[in-house]
Amino acid sequence: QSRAVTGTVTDQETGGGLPGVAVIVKGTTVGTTTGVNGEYSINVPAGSNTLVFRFIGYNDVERTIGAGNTVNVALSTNAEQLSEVVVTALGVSREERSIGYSSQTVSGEELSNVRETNIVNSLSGKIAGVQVGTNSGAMGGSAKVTMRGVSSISGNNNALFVVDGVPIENSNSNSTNQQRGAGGYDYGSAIQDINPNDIAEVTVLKGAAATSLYGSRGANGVIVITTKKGNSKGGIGVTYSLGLTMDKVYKLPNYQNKYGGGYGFTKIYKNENPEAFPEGRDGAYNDNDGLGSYDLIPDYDVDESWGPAFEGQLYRPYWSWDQELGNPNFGELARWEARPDNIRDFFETGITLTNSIALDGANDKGSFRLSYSNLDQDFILPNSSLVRHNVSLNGAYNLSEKLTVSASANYVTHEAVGRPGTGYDGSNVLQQFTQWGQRQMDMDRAKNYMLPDGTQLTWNRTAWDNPTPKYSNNPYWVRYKNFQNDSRDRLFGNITASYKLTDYLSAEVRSTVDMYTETQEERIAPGSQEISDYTLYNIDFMENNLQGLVNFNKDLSEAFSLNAFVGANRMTRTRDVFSGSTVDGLSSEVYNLGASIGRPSIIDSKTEKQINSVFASASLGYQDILYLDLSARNDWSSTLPVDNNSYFYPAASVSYLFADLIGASWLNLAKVRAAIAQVGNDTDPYNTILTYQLNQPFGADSRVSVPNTLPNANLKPEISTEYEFGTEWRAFNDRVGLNATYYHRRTTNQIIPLSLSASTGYTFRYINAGEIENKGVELNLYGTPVQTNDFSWNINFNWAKNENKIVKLTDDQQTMVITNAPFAVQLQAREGESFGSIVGYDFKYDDQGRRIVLENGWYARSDEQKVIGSVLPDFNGGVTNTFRYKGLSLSALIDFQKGGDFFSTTQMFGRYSGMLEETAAGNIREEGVIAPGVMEDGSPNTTAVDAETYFYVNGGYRMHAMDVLDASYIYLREASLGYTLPESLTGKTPFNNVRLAFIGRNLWLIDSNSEHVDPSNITNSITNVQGIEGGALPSVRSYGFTLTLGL
Amino acid sequence: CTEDFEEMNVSPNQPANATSAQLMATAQYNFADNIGDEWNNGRMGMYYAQYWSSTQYTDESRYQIREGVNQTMWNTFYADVLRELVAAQEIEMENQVTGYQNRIAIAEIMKVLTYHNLTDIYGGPIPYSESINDEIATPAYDSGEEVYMGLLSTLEEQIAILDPAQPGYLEGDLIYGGAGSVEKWRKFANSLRLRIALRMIDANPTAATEAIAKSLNPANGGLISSNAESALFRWIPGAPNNNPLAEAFKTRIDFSVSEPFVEYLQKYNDPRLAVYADPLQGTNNYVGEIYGLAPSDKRLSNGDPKVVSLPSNYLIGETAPTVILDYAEVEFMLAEIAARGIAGVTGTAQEHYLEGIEASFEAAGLSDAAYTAYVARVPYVAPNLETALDAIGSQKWIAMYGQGIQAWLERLRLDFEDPYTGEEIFVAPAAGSVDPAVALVPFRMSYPVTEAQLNEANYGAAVQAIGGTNSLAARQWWDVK
Repeated sequence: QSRAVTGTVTDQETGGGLPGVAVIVKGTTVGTTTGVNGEYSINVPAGSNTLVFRFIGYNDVERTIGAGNTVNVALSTNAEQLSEVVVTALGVSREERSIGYSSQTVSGEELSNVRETNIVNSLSGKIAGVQVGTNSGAMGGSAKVTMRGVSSISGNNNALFVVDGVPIENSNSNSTNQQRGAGGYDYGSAIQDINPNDIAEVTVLKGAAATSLYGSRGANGVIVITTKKGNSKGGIGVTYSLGLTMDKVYKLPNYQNKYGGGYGFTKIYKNENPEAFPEGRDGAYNDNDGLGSYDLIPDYDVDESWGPAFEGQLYRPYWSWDQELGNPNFGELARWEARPDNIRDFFETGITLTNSIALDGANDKGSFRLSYSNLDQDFILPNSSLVRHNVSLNGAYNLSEKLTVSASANYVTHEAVGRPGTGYDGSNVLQQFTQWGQRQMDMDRAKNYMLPDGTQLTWNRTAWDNPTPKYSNNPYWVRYKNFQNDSRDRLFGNITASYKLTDYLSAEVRSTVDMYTETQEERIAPGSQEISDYTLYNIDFMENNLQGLVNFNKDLSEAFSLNAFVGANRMTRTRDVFSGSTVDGLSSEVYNLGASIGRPSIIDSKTEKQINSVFASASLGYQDILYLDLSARNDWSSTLPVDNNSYFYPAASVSYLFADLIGASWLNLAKVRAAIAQVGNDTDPYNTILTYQLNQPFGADSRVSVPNTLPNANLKPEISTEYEFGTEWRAFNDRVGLNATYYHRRTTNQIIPLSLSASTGYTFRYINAGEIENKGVELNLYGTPVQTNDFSWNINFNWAKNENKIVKLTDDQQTMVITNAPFAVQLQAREGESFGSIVGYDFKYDDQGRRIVLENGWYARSDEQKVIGSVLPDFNGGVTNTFRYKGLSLSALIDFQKGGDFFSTTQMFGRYSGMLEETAAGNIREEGVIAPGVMEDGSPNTTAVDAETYFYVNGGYRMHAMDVLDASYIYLREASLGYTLPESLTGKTPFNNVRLAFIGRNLWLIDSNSEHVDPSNITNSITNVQGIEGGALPSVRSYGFTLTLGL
Repeated sequence: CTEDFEEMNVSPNQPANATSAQLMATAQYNFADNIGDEWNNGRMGMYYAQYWSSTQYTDESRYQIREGVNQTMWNTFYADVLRELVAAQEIEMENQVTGYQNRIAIAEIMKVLTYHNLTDIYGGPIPYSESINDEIATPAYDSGEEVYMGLLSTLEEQIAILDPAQPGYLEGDLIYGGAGSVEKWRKFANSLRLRIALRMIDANPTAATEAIAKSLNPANGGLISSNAESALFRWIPGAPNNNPLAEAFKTRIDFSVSEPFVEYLQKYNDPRLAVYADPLQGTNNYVGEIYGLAPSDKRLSNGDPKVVSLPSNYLIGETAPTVILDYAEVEFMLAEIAARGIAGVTGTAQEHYLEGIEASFEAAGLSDAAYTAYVARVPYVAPNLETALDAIGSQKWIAMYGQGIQAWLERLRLDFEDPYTGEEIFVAPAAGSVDPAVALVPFRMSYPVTEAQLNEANYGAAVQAIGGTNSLAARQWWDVK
């Protein structure tokens, strides 16, 4: 005989009703959540007499149900508490103890404490097994999130983000050249549109069993974001927060400061070129050899630094010519000396200002939360800025006792100007700061990047009497003339109607939308080194999901309870791209396709995809100790051949709680769990039928070509199978906890554009092939070593190790080429290796493992290219220490990675060009370098090679293995010092919550094996193309504060 | 509701159908670009034939190759030329519109041209009989000799098929197109057969002589016999259809005319120097760039037109054609055939030698008077075959300026010297080769690295067949003298 219990849950501090609180009948899976004003009603099975109230950020409360049928509860906040109620697939709240797979939760406060403009960056080190790869992400660059390794060879392996049930599109529009480090802008990934201040909590679902209900898109893990909802406090609550952070360049390469640019001085005699001298001035030097006086000219046209030693010689700088073009500095001399800080001086102090305001309220009919946030960033590069506005509205209304309608709408708009160029390209100023350049470059002078008539003035001019840029534009010209800009307007949200059919049966219909329009514009001004250019890129994206769900929640007997649902979903997605580039330059300095001298090159692409799905899930509980979950889903995808377009994936998990069996009073939780699941996947549109490719016509002759990728009309869906085991322990009143998982995933039948020998006529073909295995361990350890009334110390430690192996590619082929780096090495997937082999020429070694040196002092090179590095790390993790004393808290996150390699183009060219410190170490420029190694006969090498030749022939350009670097690091990633004003102070003000925090990010690269590049800062894009550093941006260190005021 | 899925998954962005003409135009365009661009011609052929030197970054002139560039060259020949030609043939076969046999044969001759470039650039073995086949993911390599035999028999068949009474390509044939094109293709095929046969004359004289006899037989359609019949790809103004070398020179001056070439032309006061190269800015002097300097060498010009002669618009102009096979080469081939005493050629070696030079002068726009004055300084000398080949080879080299890849291969085969002094014409890179296995010039281009991985077993066998390593120093099978 069950009985209905009702009540209201309130916030102990404010007295306002708390919506969304989990109310669970202890020892069962029976539960509900409170409504908008904190009210709930629940059917309590006979024999049960305790209710558990759980809510993120609050202490749990257990209440025995007395004689009455009303239980009202006030919850007190506990920011540190690790939630026991978790959000699972499709937004279903479940008691953590009952789930049979791994999940981990982070509160919004933890994420937004040290504010990043991209929420993804904040996840680094906070969750076991979540690997975040970034570049200087502070201005909305890419952040790649992978969990449990790389399971797909050709996909991007990024986790799916779901905000309040809306899958958020997170694809990447970066060019393939950008991905492989060959240049281009990083437009980041679209997930950065989420406002960190709106997030109530983030739950990370890692394994297939946890995510299979999301369909194939969840195959790489799902990050479920729940936004803040309206909160009743008897009136309208107002929260305001202000954040101010300053960005400074942190890790730059180490430069030499002994030798200047070019290879040597040239003399220009006044007698021969009187026009090169100002009136009344003789040359600075005179050898009294009858030739007269002269000035010294360095090699402006050489973009290397193998030139004369810095001895303060008087010389003619590049800015002392062009009298005929009105240069006021004509004829001036300067001292030949190093500018040790010139690169650092180029960068500015970035400032990011964030203002957020939220209004919320609720009554017994409904609730709302309205927030507005504004981010205004000036980045560290000249002429770089990002402005973003977020408006978010969440509301719910009870139309009747049975029918509730809720909606959420988010509007995001941003405008960026001057994103940093990336990779090996002129748009990336780092190319001319490290890979090439001259060490005497004076940044103050460089600011003058134009002569009075508009001609560019660059250090790398063609000759003293020709200012045309040779290889490099002036870096300020790059930033102020050749900049890009982009904007995106995005709307996402959902409308949900739920209806209670009976006390155990409810139905819900939800429609979600995610749509945006994005515009990117790139330009190269007339007068640049390159041919002038304008590129316009427009994307229109729209995804709709329509989902229906019927929920069943009832206890079947005294011992058994059942929570089940069945549902269906229809997903439609369209993506239209319109892009145009000018051809052969611009006819005027106007950035418009109409200014194209040639016929502009156009991309006009429309893609459409639909997936229909049905799914069901059942969760069966037996008393307090055993839970069984079963779920199944079937998808029909439009992208697969009609005969193969249906795929089914089941999942099962079980969790067993045995703390009571042990009976130790200090043990709060002991749990083992196991899960097994299968996930299917489809492919992109249009991979099954051959169509021709349009080319630019040749005069009157139209041209088409056969695409280089062979489609396949017999594609089948791909399948991953994963099992996992885990255990969770909590003891000593939750002072110590452990959560450990072992998983094993095997992905077969992958849909891959397999690279082919071009002699087949194609360079890729779509096939079902391959078998990839990922297995690993995730560990989360937490504890509170010290806890007194006023003081506490918390530790949270995350660690994950993944072993990836490509078990098989195809019968014919054991290797697939992922990409070519711009100069040396390839990224490949190789049978028997882990994903992402860096392949290139290696040293030759003798039988003792010593490098063999040829007679001429050069290293001997392997005959064939081989695997010389692997991009995946061995393990990574993070540890957060938090100290609190009364209202004061101090927190620091150290994250780390062991292993993983990358190829450094920066180091390769920085040595080749004589820019980096080691190229001028000791007297090597005078005495040469002896390569460490042995001759064929085993005797030590004693042949010196002149330094310039040494860094050329023994560097990565010829000897690829030389510039394969270890990506291990230990980083003090975040620190914050916060203070919450006590109520005794705020009581006298209108504010009820005042908090001030000082924060810092990327504070200290404690250890790394990479001399010149921050190894945690080399991600080009979120795609699978990783481990190729084509011209890394410097990492950025941020400091600042946030102030939060609650009204 | 999945009925419309099949329709939904058809791309609205690309055509489902193509014409043979559209594909032929693409194949010819890609072929000309591949042999004529700044990478394969500029940084390989033009260096290896020592027409050009590099002005600053000298890696390739010292035989440090870029693997990515090499990969693109290989991929383009197979996937962007041969694949298009096969698709064009399939479409012709399916539609069988009047003249389709001619068009299939023209595509087949283009395939021969492409495979011949591939086998010689990569030093013999290449995927050939099993290539361009959707069913074979890892095509076997045929030996260089097998490829040659295949190419010769294919040419014989196609020459027999070509019928001038039927139309060829009315559109899309950017090399010969329009009226009379079938006849010109037949002459081209006969001329190409001469090139292939002569390339292997030292290795397989019997088969070579047989093939030569067929080309010389007028019943088979004759040879290219005037500059108007030369096989050229004529670029048109403006990117992306202008000459790819012109495109490269729009932003950088990476190439100058090499010192050995300039000095040899000056040695015999060759008026073509003024056509091929620009004088130093503001002067009438021509200075070649020292070949293969170290990048730090102060003698490097860095492209400064005041210190070095740059290539002229003859080769790098927007509309300068890319030469595929020209009349001058045919005359020099005939000269060589006569000098070798092979039957069937009308005229003497000397006559063809002179006609070759005359054709070259005509193509360069020089006067008859200039020609007459010049040939007096470079008479045909033939006390023995070796000097005859020196005379023919050196003049053929000058006439083929711009055709870097073919000129390099002829340099390897003929090993010619100055016919009058016996001096070497070519030099080793001044700062030495970066490839320890190569001293003077590479004998072949290495197979692209992906072949070692994507077609492992067949690649391994091919490498074994050329001496065990994928080296630039592995000698061509036909280079036996």
